[in-house]
This record gives sequence, structure tokens and C-alpha cells, in this order.
Amino acid sequence: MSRKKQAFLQLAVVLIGLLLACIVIMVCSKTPLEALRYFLTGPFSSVYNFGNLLSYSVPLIIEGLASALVFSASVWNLGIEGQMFFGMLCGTFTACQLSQAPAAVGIILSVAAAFAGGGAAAWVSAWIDRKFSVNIMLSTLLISNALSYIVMYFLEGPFNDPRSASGTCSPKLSTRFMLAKIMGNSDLHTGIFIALACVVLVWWFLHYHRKGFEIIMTGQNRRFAEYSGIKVDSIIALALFLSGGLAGLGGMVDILGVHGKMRCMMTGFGWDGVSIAMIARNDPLLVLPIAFIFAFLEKGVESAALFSDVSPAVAQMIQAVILFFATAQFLFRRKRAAGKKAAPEGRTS
Amino acid sequence: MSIWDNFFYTMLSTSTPIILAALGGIMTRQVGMFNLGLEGMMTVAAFVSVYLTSITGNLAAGLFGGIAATVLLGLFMAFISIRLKADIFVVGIAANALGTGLTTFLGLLLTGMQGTMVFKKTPVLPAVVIPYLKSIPVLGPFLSGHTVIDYLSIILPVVLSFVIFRTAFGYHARAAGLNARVAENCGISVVRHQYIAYVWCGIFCGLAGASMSMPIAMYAGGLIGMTNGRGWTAMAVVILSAGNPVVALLASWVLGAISALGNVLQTNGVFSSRLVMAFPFLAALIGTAVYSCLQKRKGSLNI
Repeated sequence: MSRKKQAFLQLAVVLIGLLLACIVIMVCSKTPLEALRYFLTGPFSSVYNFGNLLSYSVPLIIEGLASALVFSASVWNLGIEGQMFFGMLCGTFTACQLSQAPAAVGIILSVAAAFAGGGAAAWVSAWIDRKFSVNIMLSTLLISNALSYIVMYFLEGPFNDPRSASGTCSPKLSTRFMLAKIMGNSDLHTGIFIALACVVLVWWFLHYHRKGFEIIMTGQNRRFAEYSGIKVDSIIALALFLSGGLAGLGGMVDILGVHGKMRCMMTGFGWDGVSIAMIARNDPLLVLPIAFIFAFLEKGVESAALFSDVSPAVAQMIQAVILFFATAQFLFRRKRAAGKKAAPEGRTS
Repeated sequence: MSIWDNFFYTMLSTSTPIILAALGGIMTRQVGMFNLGLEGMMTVAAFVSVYLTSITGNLAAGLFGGIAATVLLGLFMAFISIRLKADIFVVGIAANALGTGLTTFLGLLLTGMQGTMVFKKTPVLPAVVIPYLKSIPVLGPFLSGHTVIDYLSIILPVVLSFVIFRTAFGYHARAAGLNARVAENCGISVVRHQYIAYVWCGIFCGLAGASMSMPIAMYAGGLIGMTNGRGWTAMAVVILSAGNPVVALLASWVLGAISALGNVLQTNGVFSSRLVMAFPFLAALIGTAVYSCLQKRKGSLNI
């Protein structure tokens, strides 16, 4: 199947998911048409809402890329959430330390710190795998869970803003570091260009850079890659570092663009990114529209919940359902599957 | 003294969900399917069991309802990954996402509550006081007074290891997991064993979920939520135990002991509660590392 057709089918499944969302919303609401109207048109109804939709998709795009990059190497980094959280802490801390520095220096250094922090948190797993042969999927997960609590400890204790009125959070960043708003009074900020640049960069890196090629080769057949002289261990470490780094970057851009401080709350962007990458089948260019649709689902349901009686949790549920069906291959592989009807091979040890 | 009573008591009760979920994971692992969705299955069970208890007022209805819901989810996951050939890891992750999404959605729809849901006027799973055990001098206070599920979690690993290592079903299931093609040629229906394993995984995760929500008649939603990452710890136990239920029981006790130790340190003000919550994950990581080093067979733990 050509890549174009594959991409088209993936998008089609996501659109079917959207249709399902419409049905769920209409069933759950006492005023179905009203609710549906708010769901579909809410995010596009004003410049303000549309800007917020775009700004919400920024972290989703970057987290999706973080997952897509590492899954391309068939490395299961399931710790994106914790790596993002840790990267955000590193970045916010740096920005607070540098509050007197010039704006450009502060922004660049804090983003770099977030990238390095998240990357290091992911890279550790590659190191542990090499030294102690602990499965990477497991160690990324456990380290990320542990890190989340450790980050929360810092936000509640040593790195807390006691004057905060809106929940536990870090001290506020200097307003000079905030990325410029670019669409009316909405949240949309210049971070969207960072996200778009990341899409192009990751796509270019995976398809036109030697290391990216080695990542994909490792992903397709690790043993063959090893035979052809690729240093598989260091490629996996690189993929993990870049993905953790992107995860931290995505969280930090969201802070610099929208919140201006780090809240002591799991955002879920990391797991959303994992879902997005899986639906996009690790294609960086496909991450963009799917992240946008995820953001639309979230914001549309939010607006429907605000103006009618729909539960805001519909979005989460529909996202999970889309993930279920987008990855089942029954729609596309019927013919080929019928051709080789051997015993199913699970992933065994 | 009382702190140490408390220590052993907490150790046993915090390890219950871990061991039960790990048994579910072991079951699917034996047939060659690595189930990442333990966390999601536990979440669904935790919500459904406590919700059904609250509307029927009947503990058994809640418990079995929760198990039934989890078994259904398990069968659905099995169907998608076996029949529709979806990647088993992806199905697991989707199940986790569905667990959070579905319970938040249903919670808001059915109870009108969001976040931490406290079910009022709901019977709670009672603590069983065993007369004989209670009177044993030192061990008594912490062996007695647990819920039925806690006691089940000690018995089930032994039963399951008998089933896996001593019965025909166990042999067939392991054969299916070791090499599906060979098993198929020997006349073992691989697919059937995979479905059965998922049903068992559903039952165990259903018990695990119920053991968290039913004794307190409460459900905590959200991203961290009720399970508090214990589904992931259970997965570490699955890998660490290499599919042996009794080893899994011991490993879960060690993890439970570390949580309990954390609680003691926390009440004494040595550590902040958040840092204490990170302990079990780090312990599971270190445990897996030590175990792999002992095995000395690099690559044998690839799943």
C-alpha cells in the first residue's frame, strides 16, 4: 500500500472517530442539535476560540513528534509524560534563575534546559538497558512515574510559589520571557512556529539525515541493522534522548507561551502524544493534522460542555476509541492477512 | 510497636492490587501476549465495582459486576489484537486511555461527580477477623483483619502456579506462548488459549480494581487516579517474576513493604509524601535490574 493511501486511510479512521463523537454527544445531551452545533462550530466561532484551538495543538504536535521519533526506532518509550514533566521543571527552574538575563538568552537557555532535562531522563533508560539489561519500555515507564512524583515534590516544597492563588505551582516566570501572542487576545503564541519547525525538522531528520536513516533501519530490523554496521545501542540512546528532549521542549513551549508558570498537575499531553504518534503511524507529517484533530476534539467538547449539558470527558473517551480502531489493521490488510493464514505470532519472550 | 503493626498491615494490603494485576499479566504473558493494559483494566474495575455496589447496595453484585466489566474489556482487547491484528502494545495503551476516559465520562454521567468520587451510604468491603489468627501473639494483629480479596491474593498465586505448571491447560497455554506455530501443529488451539488467558486477566484485574475502591467506597479519577501507577508496578512484577506466580507474590510483598516503609518514614516526617510515592517505582526498577544481572543472560528479558 502506498504511503499516501495509508495516510489517507488513517485520517479517514480519525474522521469516523469524530463522527462517533458527534453521535455520543447527541445521545448524551438533552438538546442534541444545540450541543452538536457548539461542538462543531465552537472552536471556529471566533478569532479568540480559534487561536486557543491552535495554541492547544502546539504541545500536542511536539509530544506527538517526540513519540513518533522514538517509535520509528521500534523503541517503546512510554515515559513521555514524565520526561515532559521533568523537562518542564528544568526549564522553569532555569528561567527563574535567569530572571535578570536578556529575554533572548533566557528563552533559549530555558528551552535548552527543558530539552536537556527531558532528554537525560529518557537517555538514562538506554544506559540502564546497556548496563543492567532492563527492558527499555519498562524502565522508561517506571522512571517517568517516579520522576513525576519527584517533580511534584519540588513544586510543592522547595520550588513552590507560596503567593499563588490558583493551586500549587512554581514561581512565575519573568514576563519578558513570554512568547509573543500573535492572534488577537487568544492564547496563540509564536510557539506554533516552533512546533511547525519541529515537524519539518523531524521529518527531514528521519528521511534525509544519516542518523535518522539509521534510526529507521534499527526500527525495521534491529539485527540486520547491527550486521550492516550500525551501532544499534548508540542509535537507540540517540532516539531516546531526542524524544525525551522533544517532550521537554513541548511542555516548556506551552509554559512560555500560555501559562507563564509550571502547575503541579499532570497535563496528559505526553500520553496524548503517544496516541497521536500511533495513529499517525510514526509519520511526522501526519502528526500535524492528527494533533490538530485531537485539539479540536478537546476544544469542541469543551465548548459544548460550556454552553450545553455535555460532559467534558467525552473527548478523552473518543480519543481512546480512535486509537483502538486506527491501529487495528482490519480495514486495510484483509487481503494480505488472508494470504498467509499461519498461526498468530504474539510477542513472546 | 503500633507503627510496626501498621507496617505489616499496610504491606499486605498495598501489595494486594499489585499481586492480583500481576497474576493477570502473567496469565496473558504465558500465552505470548504482553498486556500493557493492566492499569486501564484495573481502573475500569475499580469504578464499576464501587458504582454497582452503591446503586444495588449489594457487595457481591458490585464485585461480580466489576469483574464482568473487566472481562468484557479483556475480551474486546483480545478480539482487537488477535482477530483484527492490532499491535498488542498499542491495544494495551489504548485500553489505559480508555480506562481513564471511560470512567471519567461515566462517572460524570452517572453520578454527577468528577475527580474523587465519594459514594455515600454504600456498604464497604468488610475486614474479616479470623479468630485463630487473631490470637497468635506477634503475627496476629497484621495477619487478621484484612478483606476477603486480600486473603484471596495470597491463595491465588499458589493456585495459579499449580494451574500453569501442573495441569494440561497450563502446559498448552505455555506451549502456545513459547511457539505458536509448533503448538498449532500439535493440535493446540492457540487463539482459544489466548482468549481464555484474557478472560482470566480480566478476572484478576477485576479483583485488583475492586480491592482498591470497594474497602473505602471511593473512586479517584483523573490521570494519576485510583491505581496510582500500580498497574505499571504490576507490569514490572510480571517481567521480574518471569511468569512464576509465587515469585510474583514475593516481589509484590517486597514492593508493598517498601510502600509501607515509606508510610512510616512519612509519618515520622523524614520524607515528604510525594518522594515516598516515588519509592515503589524505583524499587521495581532496581529489582528488575538486579534480577537481570543475576540471570546473566543478556537479551533473555526482551519482551
